[in-house]
Amino acid sequence: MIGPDCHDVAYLLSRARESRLTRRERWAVRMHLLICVYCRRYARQLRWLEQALARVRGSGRTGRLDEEARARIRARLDTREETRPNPPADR
Amino acid sequence: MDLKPEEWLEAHGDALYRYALVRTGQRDVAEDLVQETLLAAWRGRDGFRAASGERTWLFGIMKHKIDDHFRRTARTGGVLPAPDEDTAVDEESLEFGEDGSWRTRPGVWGGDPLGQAEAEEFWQELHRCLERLPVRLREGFVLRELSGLESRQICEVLEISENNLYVLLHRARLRVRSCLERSWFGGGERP
Ligand SMILES: [Zn+2]
Repeated sequence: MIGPDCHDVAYLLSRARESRLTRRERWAVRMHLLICVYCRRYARQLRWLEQALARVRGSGRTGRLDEEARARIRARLDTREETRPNPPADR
Repeated sequence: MDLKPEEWLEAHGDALYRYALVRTGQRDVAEDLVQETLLAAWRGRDGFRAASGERTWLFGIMKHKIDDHFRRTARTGGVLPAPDEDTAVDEESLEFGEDGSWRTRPGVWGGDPLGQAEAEEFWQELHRCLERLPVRLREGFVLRELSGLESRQICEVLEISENNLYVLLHRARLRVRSCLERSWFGGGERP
């Protein structure tokens, strides 16, 4: 049997992050990575991306609501009891 | 059941915000959408079923709010997001040849993922890359990687099967990868 090609392996590397691969799939990926530098790089890049995204998620301004917005939203939620169904939009 | 919008804001506010921010590209709009979503959730709390989970439920509402937002801006002469025109072409054939080999071979990236100072700058680049994705791919990628939903939850929000989601994430990651390699790492090898 011929092993998976790079296209197959790239898919499996991505899917492995969502669900557990079968034993056969894991074996096929491992064998391919032994002989293919590009897929090894891709696997490393996926990990890099994961870590970089974790940084972005944790960083101010872009990754999170700032305090001002949070306070504004909280204040609005505090008045929710008076909220009628379908009030006019705020803007 | 005791539902508390303030707690939703604490537990899910940032994740909802990131989703809205990437979809709309505007911070103030994204903030308003978070507020609208939480208020709508409160008004519609009778429809909440614990089975689907709080987070999935809130993201479902957010998705509708974003769709509404685009319909509204379209009516007032705004621009609609690019339609999924290129889902018709096989996106993976951009990345792989017919023999299944890489068309643009992954290059060597710097070893260290971002320092804290670079995170902001990286975000700008990432955002540009995400804007180029078809909406469907962008949505899946953002819900997974920036909002941190689990696959199962994303499937419920987007109403797709798990296999669809796997393919969608695979394609999004490939495209984000090659886009970042060009823009952030300034490279990539051609066979
Ligand atoms: Zn390979």
